Amino acid sequence: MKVRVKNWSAVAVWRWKVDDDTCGICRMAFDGCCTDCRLPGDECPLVWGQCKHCFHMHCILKWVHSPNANQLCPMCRQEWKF
Amino acid sequence: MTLKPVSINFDDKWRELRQQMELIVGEQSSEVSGMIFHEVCTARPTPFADKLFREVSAFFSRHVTALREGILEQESNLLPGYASRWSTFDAGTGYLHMVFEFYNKLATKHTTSGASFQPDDGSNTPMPIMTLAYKRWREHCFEPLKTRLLHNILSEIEKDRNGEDINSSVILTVVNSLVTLSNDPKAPLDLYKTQFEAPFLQGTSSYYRREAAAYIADHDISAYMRKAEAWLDSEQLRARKHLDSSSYSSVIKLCEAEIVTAHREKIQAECTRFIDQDAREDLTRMYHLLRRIPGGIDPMLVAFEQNVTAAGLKEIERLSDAAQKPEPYVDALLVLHSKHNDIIRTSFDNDNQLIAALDKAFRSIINDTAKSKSAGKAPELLAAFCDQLLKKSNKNQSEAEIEEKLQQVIKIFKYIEGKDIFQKFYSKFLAKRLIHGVSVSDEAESMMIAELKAVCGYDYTTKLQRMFTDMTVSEDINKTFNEFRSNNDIPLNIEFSMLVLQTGAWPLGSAVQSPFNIPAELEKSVTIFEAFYGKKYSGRKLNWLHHLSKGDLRATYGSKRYELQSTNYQMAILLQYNNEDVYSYSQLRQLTNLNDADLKKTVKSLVDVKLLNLDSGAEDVTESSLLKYNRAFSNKRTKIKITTAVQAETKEESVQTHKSVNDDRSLYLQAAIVRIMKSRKTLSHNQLVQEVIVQLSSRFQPAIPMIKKSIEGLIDKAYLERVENTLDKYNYLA
Repeated sequence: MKVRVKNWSAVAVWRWKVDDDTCGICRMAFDGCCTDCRLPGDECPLVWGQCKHCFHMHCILKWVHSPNANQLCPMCRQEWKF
Repeated sequence: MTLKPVSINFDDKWRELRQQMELIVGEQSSEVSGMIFHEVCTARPTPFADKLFREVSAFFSRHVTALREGILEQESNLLPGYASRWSTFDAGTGYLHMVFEFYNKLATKHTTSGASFQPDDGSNTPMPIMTLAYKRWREHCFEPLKTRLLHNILSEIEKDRNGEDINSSVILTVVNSLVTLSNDPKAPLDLYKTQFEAPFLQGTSSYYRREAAAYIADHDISAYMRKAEAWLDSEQLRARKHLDSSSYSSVIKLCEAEIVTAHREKIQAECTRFIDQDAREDLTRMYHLLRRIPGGIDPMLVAFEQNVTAAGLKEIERLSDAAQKPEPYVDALLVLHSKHNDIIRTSFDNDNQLIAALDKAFRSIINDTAKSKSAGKAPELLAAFCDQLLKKSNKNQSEAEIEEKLQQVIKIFKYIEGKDIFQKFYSKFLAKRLIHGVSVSDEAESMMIAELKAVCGYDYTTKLQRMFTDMTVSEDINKTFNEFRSNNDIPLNIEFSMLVLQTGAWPLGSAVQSPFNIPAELEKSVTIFEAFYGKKYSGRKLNWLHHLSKGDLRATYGSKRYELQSTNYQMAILLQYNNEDVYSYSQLRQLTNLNDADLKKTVKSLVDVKLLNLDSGAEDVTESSLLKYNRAFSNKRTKIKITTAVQAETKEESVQTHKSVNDDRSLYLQAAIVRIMKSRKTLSHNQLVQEVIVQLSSRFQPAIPMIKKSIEGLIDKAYLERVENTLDKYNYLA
C-alpha cells in the first residue's frame, strides 16, 4: 500500500427527483417555489400523492381544501392521499 | 383715618404733595401716602380732581425742563449726564407710579368715561403717572436733545470699534431710555427704531463697507477671513452690550452683507487652493463665514467635489497596475475617503451638504468607466478585497480588525452602482470559502452579510444566507449519518464528511463537470450515504460534485509518512499507484474517466510536487507521457498541500461572471418594466425610463439604450403596445 485515504470531504447538490419540470397547480418550476413563498428549498417542499403525482406542498394543500376539489388529485381525479 | 369726603384746602395739600413728589422723583426717600389723593379728589364741597391733574402735569413739565438744563451744562458729551438723570427719573417715576395708585385709577376712569375735564394745554388728557412722566420726558428732554445724543452715541460706538475704551453702560442706559419711552402699544419700540436703530444701522453699514474694502485691498484672503471673523464676533458682542435684543439679528445681517456677501467671490475663489494645501484652519473659517449667507457655501461644495474626484482619479492612475489588485485599490480609496471625511468633520461641522458632495465625488471615482485602468472593476475588486479579509491566511488579523475593515468596505460599497456585480463575485468567493472551509470566522461572515442586507435589503442577501443554512444543515446530516453508521455497525474505513448543497443557491457555475470514476476506496461511502440520504429525505436526488471534493491521503516512503492534502482528482490518480508503479497517460485517462483538460492539469500538479515523475527527458505532460510513481519522494514538511494551477481559470471565471451579470440584468430590467406598467397601465416613455432607473438603483444603473431595447423586446412579446397616434406612450397589455 503506497497511499491510503485518511479522510474525505465530499460535496454534492440535491434536487427534487421529479419527471416534470413544473408544478401542475401553480405552473412554477419545482426547483423554484410556489407562488406564496419567496425561497425554494426546505421551506417550500414537494409532496407526492399515492397516485405518484407531485406538487408543491403548499399548492396541493390549498387545492384539496378548496370546496370544488372534492379531495381529488387535480391530475388524475383519484382521491388524494399522501 | 377715614375714607369719608372731608373738606380740605387744595393749595395747602398740593404744596405738601409737591414737596414729596420732588423728593421721590429725585430718588430720595419720602413717606408720602396715597391717601392724600383720596382726600383731594373726594373733597367736599368740590372735589379737586381736575385741578390736581393739571398741577401734576405741570409739575412734570417743570421738573423735566430743569433736568434738561442740567444735562446741557456739559458741553461735548451729553451721554453721562443724560444717562444718570434718566436713571434717577425713571426709578423715581416708577416708585411714584406705585404709590399713586389711586391717582392712576382716577386718571384712567376720567379718560374712559369721557368726563368733562378739559386740560389746560389742549392735548393733555389725564393719564397715569408713568405715562405722563414719560411723555413729558420725551417732549421736554429727549426731543430737544436727540440730534446731539444720537451723534454722541454713534461716535462712542465708532470709538469702541476702533479699539478705544468707552463706557458701555452709559450707552446702554441711553438706548434703553428710548425703548422705555416708545410706549405706544400699537407700534412698540417705534421711538427706538426710528430715532436710533435706523441711523445706527446705516452707520454700521458704511463703517464696514469702508473698512472691509480697505482691509481686503491690503491683505490676503486668509488674513481677511481672520479679520472678518473678529469683526463679526466683536459686533455680536457689541450689539449685546449696547442694543435692544430686537436689533441683534439686524446688525449681524448688515455686517454679514458688508463683510462677507460683498466680498464673497474673492473668498470663494480661494477654496480650491485651501483644500489642495489641506489648510484646515482657513477652510474652517471660510466655511463658517460663507455659511452665514444664503448659497454662500455652494461654490465650496463644487470645489470640494471636484477636488476629491480629481485626487481620486489621480491616485488610481498613480497606482497604475497595482490598481487592478484589490488591496492597493481599496486601501487607496479608504485613505482618500477618511482624509476628506476628516476635513468635513474638523472643518465643516459634519455639514450634510459637504458629505453629499463627498459622496458624489466618490461615486464618480468608483464608477468611472473612462479614464482609469480599473474602470468598471470596482465591484469585483471590492468583493475580492472582502475575500482576502475573510479567508484564513498566515497574516491573520484579529477579529476586531477584520470587522473594522469590513465596516470601511461597506462605505465604499455604498457608492458602487453595479451592486449586482459585487453580489455575483461576493457569492462566488463566499461559496469557495465555505466549501473549502477556509472562512476566518462565522461571526465575521454573518456581520458582513448583515451589513450588506442593511444597505441593499433582504432580497440582496437571501442567496448568501441560504449558503449558510446549507452549512448548518450539512453539519446535522453528518451527525445523524455517523449515528446511523454506528447504530447499524457500518464501518467506512475512512473519515467521511459531506456537504449537501441546495441547487440554485450556490454560484457553482453551469460549466459541465468532467465525467469521473469514483475510486474504489471511496465508493462505499458514496453508496451508503446515498442510501441513508434517500431514506431521510424522500424525493431528492444527489448529484456529487467531485471537482469540489477533497481529502487527505497518507503516503509512506520508507520510514517517513506524509499527509497529502489533495483534490478528488489527485486522490483518484494517486490511489491507482497502489496497484502499479507506472501508468501511461492514456491508462490514467481510462481509469479515472477524466476529460483531458482536468486530467492534464491534475497530472501536472502531481508532477510539479514530485509525487510522480515524467519519463526522463520529457518536459511536459503529453498524450504519450509515462508517469512513474516517485518512490524517492521526500519533503521537509510532513503535511503537504498539492496545489493546482488556477490562474487561467480565474480570469475565465471573471469573464463568465460578468456575462451572467449581464444576463441577469436584462431579466431584472424586463421584470421591472412589466411591474411598473402593470400598476400604471399607461405611461410615457420618459416616465417609464425614470421609474425603471429608480426601481433598479439599488442593484445597478441601467443604461438607457438597454432600457429601450428591453421595452422593444416586450412590445414584440406583446406585453406592451404603443398608444396609437402618440409618439412616446405605452399601454400595458394584460
